[in-house]
Amino acid sequence: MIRIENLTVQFGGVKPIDGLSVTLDKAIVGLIGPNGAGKTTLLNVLSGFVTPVSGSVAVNGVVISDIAPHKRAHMGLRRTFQTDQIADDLTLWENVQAIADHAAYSTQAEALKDVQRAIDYVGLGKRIHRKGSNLTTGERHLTEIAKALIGKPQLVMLDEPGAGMSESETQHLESVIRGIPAYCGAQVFLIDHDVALIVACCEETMVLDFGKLLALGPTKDVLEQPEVRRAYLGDFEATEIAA
Amino acid sequence: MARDKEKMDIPPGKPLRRVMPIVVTLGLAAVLGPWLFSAYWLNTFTTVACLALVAGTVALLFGQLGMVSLAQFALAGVGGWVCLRLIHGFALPFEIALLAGALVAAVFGLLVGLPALRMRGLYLALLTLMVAAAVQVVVDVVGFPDGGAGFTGKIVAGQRVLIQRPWIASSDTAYYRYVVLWLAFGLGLIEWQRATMPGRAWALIRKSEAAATAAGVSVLRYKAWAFTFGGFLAGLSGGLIAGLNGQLDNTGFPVSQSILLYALTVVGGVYNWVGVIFAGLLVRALPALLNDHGVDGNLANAFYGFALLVSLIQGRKGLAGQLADFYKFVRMSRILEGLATWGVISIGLGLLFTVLGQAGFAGAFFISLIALLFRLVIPGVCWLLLGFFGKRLQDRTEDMEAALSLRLAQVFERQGWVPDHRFIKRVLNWLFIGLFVAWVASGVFDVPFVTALALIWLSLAAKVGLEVAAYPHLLSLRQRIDKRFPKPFASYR
Repeated sequence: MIRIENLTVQFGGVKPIDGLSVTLDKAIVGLIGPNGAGKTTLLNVLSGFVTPVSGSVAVNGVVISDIAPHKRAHMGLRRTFQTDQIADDLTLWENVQAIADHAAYSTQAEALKDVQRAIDYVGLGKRIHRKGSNLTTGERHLTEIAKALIGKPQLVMLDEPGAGMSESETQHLESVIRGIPAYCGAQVFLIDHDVALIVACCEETMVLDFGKLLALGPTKDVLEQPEVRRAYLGDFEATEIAA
Repeated sequence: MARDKEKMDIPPGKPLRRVMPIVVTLGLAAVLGPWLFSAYWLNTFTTVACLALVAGTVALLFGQLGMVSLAQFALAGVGGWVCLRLIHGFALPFEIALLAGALVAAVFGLLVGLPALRMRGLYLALLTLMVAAAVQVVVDVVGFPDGGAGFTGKIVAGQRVLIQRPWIASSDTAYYRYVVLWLAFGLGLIEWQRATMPGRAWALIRKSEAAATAAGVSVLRYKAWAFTFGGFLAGLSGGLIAGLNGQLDNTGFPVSQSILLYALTVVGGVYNWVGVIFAGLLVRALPALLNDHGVDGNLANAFYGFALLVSLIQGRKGLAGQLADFYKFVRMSRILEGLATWGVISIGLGLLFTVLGQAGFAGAFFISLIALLFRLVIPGVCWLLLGFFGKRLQDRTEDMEAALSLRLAQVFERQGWVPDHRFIKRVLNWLFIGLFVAWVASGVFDVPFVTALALIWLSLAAKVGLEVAAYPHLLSLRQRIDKRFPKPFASYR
């Protein structure tokens, strides 16, 4: 469960997040909003790369505002980035193992088993010896997800995992994301521009616009709200669709 | 996206498997070296091994973390001084002094690294350059103890006392082997680190520090570890240099050498251990080769500047990376076949020339072996050199060569001979290898030029003869071998 209270982030004169208060407790939560709405900034606050000017953030009851970014990772807060972070000269296996190196396991064998399990879960079990540079865009995004599933995560934050994927790959991605809560018990926080992916995966969706909460609720209901359509599609199209 | 057929880029990475090639190659070099080279060259190669170890630490910092450290040679100096003084002062056994020197250099490495952890690029390079300069200034001003007795002994005028080499390696020959084994240990240790947890953490960091942090990696700790570990190995190398000469003086570790070593490590290639050895060879062996043939060794510096420029343009892969690219399609069967034919030819010719009284067996054996090696390497090197001028020139040269070959093949056909489209390449290759290798060999092995030339051309002719005679019988064997072992160089990075 993510509890955000009165969160404000300021870069010079710009406030990418402005007085946001929200509680997210569903297993898979979507986050949408037009460009510049503050989506990635919110993710950066959660993973500790951006320090807010005011407000607090708590995950599963633990206030994380004062914890260093790499310690948050140790706590089980995992994230992916918009641009994938696969090391080109390591194999797929080594890329995932690099994450397991810094997670808490009682034995080495247990760590290796978890690496294998995560890779198998995203469906790349037959590609483990491929170099990062030889993976396709879809495989790279799935590898990123496998990395985020290492070591009993509490919260998995995915930043546009579907970017640049083909239709069949996106379908596979949907089933992977939907299965994460059952796979490791983590809450999933999904940012994507692909509304179809959000609809397919998320029970609850939150919409940001200019750093403020525009809507929050069951995904279908939220997407039908006129102000959400207006923010996303602009005034003209929204009235067209309404008519 | 599981595919039916698993394609392997890199074999499952057991660290030991990645260290083995280093240990085997350097082990062979250690065993064979003294048998091959004259005293002058043996000494040169001992220095090359020391420098390669320092270059290894430069490559570690630059290749793994993108950090430019110009202080590595100065750290070697620190390690060397500590080792030297400990032996003079307390008559410690060589190995203990060596390790103590390396540990002190590791601490210095960490001290250099600490402020550097927040810097990168040019600023880091400048900082480390200043450290290197500072070490030199301190050594000059303080008038560091050099060869006198006791811990602070200094000889102002007179003979310096030399330190004893380790008792297992007191002769030049044994010391060469000793240093090469330390080099194998050092480079093996670096490779081991790369194949295990620190290597994977470094990979995350060089990809993006933010991503590494998000993965739970403590960026500062792993950077500091790289500096400390690099300092340790550089210090070790310094101690080995002290042992080689028995002494050190205040001109031993100048800033200019630090910069040269960095530049040539980039030229050699920072992403694998072969490049590091190239760097060592470029710094010391190439000038020595030129000197040996009466050409001023400093001429090499002019070439280095050019080579560095090209290397940076080519994307930092260096000589080693380019060679790996060139040979990545080589199959295992050809390697085994080559080894067998080379062995037969070299041993045969070695025996023949000994019986004829033209040359010693070892000399003849190795000249023949080197000629065969060059036949394999020269096309790669030419390709590489052409690559310096861009892909277009490479393509055009290839086209031109093909057109010429075709024209010549047509001439052959008109004459009623068997046309061979590779004729020109072969002739050029043989001419060049014959004349060049004979020139080098006549210097290194003390064999008359004509004898060397005869040996080389006989080797090459024998190889073609053997191949033609054995070809039909080998085809099925080749296929069997290739099925079992895929391309061995494909995984080099």
